[in-house]
This record gives sequence, structure tokens and C-alpha cells, in this order.
Amino acid sequence: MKKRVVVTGIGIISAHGIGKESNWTKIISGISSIGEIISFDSSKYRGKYGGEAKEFHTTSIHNLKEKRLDRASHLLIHATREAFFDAQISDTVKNIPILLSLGTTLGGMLSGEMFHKEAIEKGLDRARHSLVSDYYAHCQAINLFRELELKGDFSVFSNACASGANAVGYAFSSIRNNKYDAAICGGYDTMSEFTFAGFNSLMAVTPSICRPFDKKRDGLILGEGAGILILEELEHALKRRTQIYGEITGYGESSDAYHITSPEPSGRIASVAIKKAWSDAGNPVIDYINAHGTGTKYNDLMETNAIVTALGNGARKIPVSSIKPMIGHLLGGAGAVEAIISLLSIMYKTLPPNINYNTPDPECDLHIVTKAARHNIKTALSNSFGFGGSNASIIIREYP
Amino acid sequence: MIALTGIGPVTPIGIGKDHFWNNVISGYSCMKKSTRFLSSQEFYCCEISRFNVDEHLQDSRFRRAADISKYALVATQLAIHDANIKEWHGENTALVMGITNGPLNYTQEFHTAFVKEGIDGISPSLFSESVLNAPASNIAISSIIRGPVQTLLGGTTGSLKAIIFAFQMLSTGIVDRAIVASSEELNELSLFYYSRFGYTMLSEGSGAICIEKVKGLEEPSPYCYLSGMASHCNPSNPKDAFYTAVQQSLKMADLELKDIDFIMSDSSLPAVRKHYQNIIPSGCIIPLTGNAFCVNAMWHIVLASLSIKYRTIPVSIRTDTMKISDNISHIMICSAEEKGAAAAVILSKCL
Repeated sequence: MKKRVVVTGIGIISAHGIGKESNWTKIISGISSIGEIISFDSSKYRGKYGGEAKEFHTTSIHNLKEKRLDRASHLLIHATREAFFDAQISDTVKNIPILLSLGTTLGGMLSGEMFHKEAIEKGLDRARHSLVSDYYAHCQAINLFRELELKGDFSVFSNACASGANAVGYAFSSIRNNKYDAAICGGYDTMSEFTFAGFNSLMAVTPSICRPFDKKRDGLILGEGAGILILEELEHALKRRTQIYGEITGYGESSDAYHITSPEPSGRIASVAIKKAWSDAGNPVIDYINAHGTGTKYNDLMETNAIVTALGNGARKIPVSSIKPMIGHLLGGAGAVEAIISLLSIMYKTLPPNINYNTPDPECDLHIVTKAARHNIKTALSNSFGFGGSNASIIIREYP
Repeated sequence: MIALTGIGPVTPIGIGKDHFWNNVISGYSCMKKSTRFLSSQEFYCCEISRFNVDEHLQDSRFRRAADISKYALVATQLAIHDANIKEWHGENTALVMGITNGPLNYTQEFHTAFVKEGIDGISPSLFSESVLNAPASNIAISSIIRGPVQTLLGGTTGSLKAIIFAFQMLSTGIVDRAIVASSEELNELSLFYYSRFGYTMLSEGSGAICIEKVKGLEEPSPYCYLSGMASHCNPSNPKDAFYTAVQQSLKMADLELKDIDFIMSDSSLPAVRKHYQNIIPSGCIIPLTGNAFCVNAMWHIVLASLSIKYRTIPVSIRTDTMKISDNISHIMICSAEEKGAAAAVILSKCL
């Protein structure tokens, strides 16, 4: 018998700040935290802006002995601590086997960047090899295990921008199929010049503002941060008498098998992920769609097609918004942070706005939410699509 | 029953199951001084030399892909061909890829172009092919896999975890078939880095398997079935992590340690080896193929499948002289990392 899976803790770091309260307040205010990049010189790029988590510097480390940790590890450890605190997880609960399911696109790329640069400029034998220890993308998960003295198992997914959603989906499936009672899941990524230069070389970054689904949209804005959710089997959470934020009820995924960077334009394959998640959840009425909405020509058109193909013509009436114009595209962190925002929108019965939307695009004829508004959201759909054609959708509903 | 129906090894000692098996039997090792990197330091490693993707792959779209992708593309094609699949249903097929280091050569090339020539020197394809899921995406595009396509990152346990994940998708009915692959490429930076920690004999290549739900013995008969598997992590006690993974996999297979006929392990941790040394006959392929991180375990899976099929364990991989059963029924493939991650998979003979 399938178990029910609930969310009992949230940890979030983004350009909007640290913690769910500050993030939610700014999200519904429609404030943009996008600005000129300060962590490196972006003046030479087509797009110069990004959503850096400027309020976050480092977290306190107690058990790890490494002298140097990548910012990715700091983001991950801090967001997880916050989620643990939020879920009132004590040491007793930490002693049960826990699943850690994470998504990242880059892992410790900031360290990798430094190492590559030193190797090129000074030679391999003079580059700091200590930089490599937290470069590989599975190292942050192990650091978290060691720092929080966890035991259980970990899985690190790297499926580009769908990674965070994949990680949440895997944790959800593992608890539902009775493999674990509790899981830490989510995603993270840092603002690295490697990615910034890469997305610029693909002409995917906007030189101005990110405006998903708008006719004048011309690219995405990168961001950084982490989103962590504590998932528990319902009875496990009830026994602990902890608060329950909501319930994950469906997950679906598919792969375009089309192109390494371009989405399959008809959205037919992406619609399979949405349909699977929707069917997995029992085909509920969808009250809100938190779109992947990157603001690129191809993604937003494909996503519109996918939503309509999966949910029918009625989908055009469902409120849709993307939060990426406010905090940027968090890559591996996007799916998790957007699942959190979907959850908060259900809790606070408020639709987050899709800012910078001024000129409707007839090809993206969805009900785009331009201003935060009260709405009786019971069930939300969160979409994530990534390079290589990875598609993932999550259905979240209110509890009880 | 979830059975292993196809294998595809791309190794420094042979590409394709027959070439690979024959060289394992003959004890061929390809260790030699690296010729690929213009470095002041000498490295001994196992390279796949004279690899021409066009000899193995008709699809020319992937000529500019990174080596890690090319190896994986060929391994996957070999595994699919070996499984003799008559009808391909891409929607009901999953791909799970285990990776440790990823496309490091293109990443390094990207950084070099960026540092020396600036933003204008970067080729967009260097970026898209440097992304960690590029090998999996290329396979999905090449083989038209439209079910879940996942890249799992990890140390040496990565490919065993990928098998466990694929098995879960099959057993919960998400897909009917899964391709599990693992791939690595040699890179100058990683040779430098790992040599400082005493890692020698680094290697490259790929391995892929096809696993499917089968009702019974079908033609052609599967190599074996997946009877038990588990993974665990306990950084404060790596020995406990290994013990837990082994015990849980045995429990799932309804076996005891004494029922295992042979263990293939890539772990050099003394505490881990002590667990089965002088109890169960064991072996390791690394002295022949070199160390390709998470691909090691995939090569062990391929080798174990062939060992079950041919009812013999090649002497060249043996690490002890214990007697092996004449009737090889269960082989355990395990991996344990210093940082406390461990995984085990048991392959059993189809009865």
C-alpha cells in the first residue's frame, strides 16, 4: 500500500534572502532581487545581471574538518539546518535512517573554476589541489552527512534544470513506497562564471529583464540558492506532532530525446511528465501552476503547449506564474525552490506574480498572473524542464 | 523477476563482450605510460587507444561529443543490441547513468579558452557537452529513450546506485525496461589530483546493461537476475555502511553470506575486505582494466554476468586462492568508499 507523503520542514536561500518568511514576503510583493553581478566582473557579457544570494555568506561548521568548503556546501548545509529546525527535528529523529536526495547542476563549480584557472595560469603542480575536494558534485551531499552526523543513504541527481524536481520526486517515491520514513530533499547551485559564460555563449541570457511568457521575452537570468524540504511519511509526522505544510501527491517525468539544449517544441513529451504527475495524484483540479518559465523564446512556448496538451483547453484558465524574474534561474535549485513557493502559495492562498509581463504573446495564451492575488489554491502543479530534455512535474496539495 | 538481458562493455582491454571476456581470460593488462597528455609528469594509466566512434556508431550527430559520451553511446548500443530487443518502446524505457568525474576534458577546454581568449573564445558546444547530464542526454537522443533519464553522481558506488534506482523503477511499474550505464574519461587534471592521494592506474571507458521485467526463461535467456541490492552511507563508520549494504542486499535476496559464490569488489579499505576475506572467494578487475571510479562496478557487473553464463570465474581477477563452487549461482558486486558510502548488488543464476 502506498504511503502518504507530507512536507514538515522548509529551508530556502535565494536572492530574496534567507528563510521562508523573507522569501515569501518578497515573492508576493513582486519585488525583483535581480541586480548587477558582484561576485565577478560581468561587464563583458551580453547579460550582466543575476540573482545572487547576497545576504548569505557562510554557515557555521562544527564537525567537518576541511579548512575550505565550496559555497555550494555552505548553501546546502545552511538550508538543511533551517529545514531541520523548521521541522523540529531533534537528534532522536536524526538517528533514524534518512534519505538525502539532492539535485545540482554544478556541485562545487566555484572551487572547480579556481582550480582550473590556477592550473592554466600557474601549472598543474602549483594549483591548489585542496580546491578539488569539494568540486565534485557528490561531495556536498557527503559533507552534509558528515556535518549533521546523518546515516542512511544519499542520491545526487544532475539532470540540469530539472535536478531539484527530480530529487524531490525521488524522495517522494521512496517514502511512498515504504523505503524510508523521512527524507531531506531539494536542490542547490551557486552563481559561477563558468555557467554564466556558458549560458551567455548560448545566447540564452537576456541583456535586460527576464519576462516569462511575454511576447518580448528574450532570455533568462541566472540565480543561485538552495531549497530543502523535509518529507515524512504521514503517520511518522503525526506521531511527532509536528506541523504539516502540505502533501506531495504526484510526480511524473519524461525525456524529450530531441536535442542537447533545445526543448522539443510541440511540448508533447514534456506534457507526458505533467500527465503522469497529474494522474499519479488522481487527476485533481489544478488551482495554480508554478511554471518553469525561464523567459526564453523556446522554453515558454514549449511549456504552454505542454500544459495545454496535458490538461486540455481548460488549462488556459488556470493561473500560471514563474518566479524566475524575481530571483533568477537557480538551475539545480530551481525545482526545489519552486516546489516550496508552490507549497507556500497553497498555505497562504495567494498566487505569486509573474512580474515583467506586459505584452501578451498569442502563442503563450495562458492565464498569466501579473499581480499577487488571493486565490483558493488547494492543489498546485510545479514544472521543471532541463537541458538534454529532462522534464519533471510535481503535484502538491493542501493538508488536510 | 527483473533480469539482466544485455551487456555492453567499452574498456581499455576490449570493446564488446567477446573481446572483453577473452582478454580477461588471458589476463591482458593495458597499463602503460600515458601518451595523451603533454605533461611534465609521467602517468601510468589504462587508455582506450585508437577509439574511433564511427566504427561503432552509425549516427554522426555525436562526433563532437566528449569522449565520456562517446564511450557511453557505444556501450549502450552494445547492450541494447545484446539484449536482442525486438520492439523498442522509448516511452516505457528508463536510462540511469552513474558518473563520478564527468566530462572533465571539455570542462578544462572551456576554462582554457575562457582564461586565454575570453568570452569570445568559448564554443557553445563546449558548454553544453560539459554539463554533467550530457552523456545521458546524448544516449537518450541516440536511442530515443523517452522515459525517465537520470544522471546520478557519486564516487565508486555510483553505478551500483544507478542499478538500484533503475530496479526500483521497474519494480514499481514506472517502466518495463531500463538501461543503466556508467562512463568516465581520462583527464590530465584528475590524473594529477588523484595521484597525490596515491590513486594509480586510472582508467576510462564505459559499461552498460539492459535490465527488464521477464516472466520466465525467455529466448534468448537472460544472463542472470537481480536478486538483492542495497546502498548505505555512514561517514562516521564506513565499515558499518558496508556491512549494512551487504546485509540488506542479502536479506532482499533471501540469502546468507555463505551462499555467495564469489565477491567482486573495488574497495581497498582493509576494514571492508576483512568482512569477506578468507570467507568468500573474491576478485577485482582493476589490475587489468585500471581504476575508472564508478565504472569499475559496472565492469564487475558485466564480468559477473558473463561468469554466471560461462560458469567460470577468470583466474586473472582472483585475489585469493580459495576454492570456487562448480555451480556459480550468486555473485555479489560491491563497492565501498573511504567517505562512508557503500553499495552491493547480487546477481543470481536464472533457475
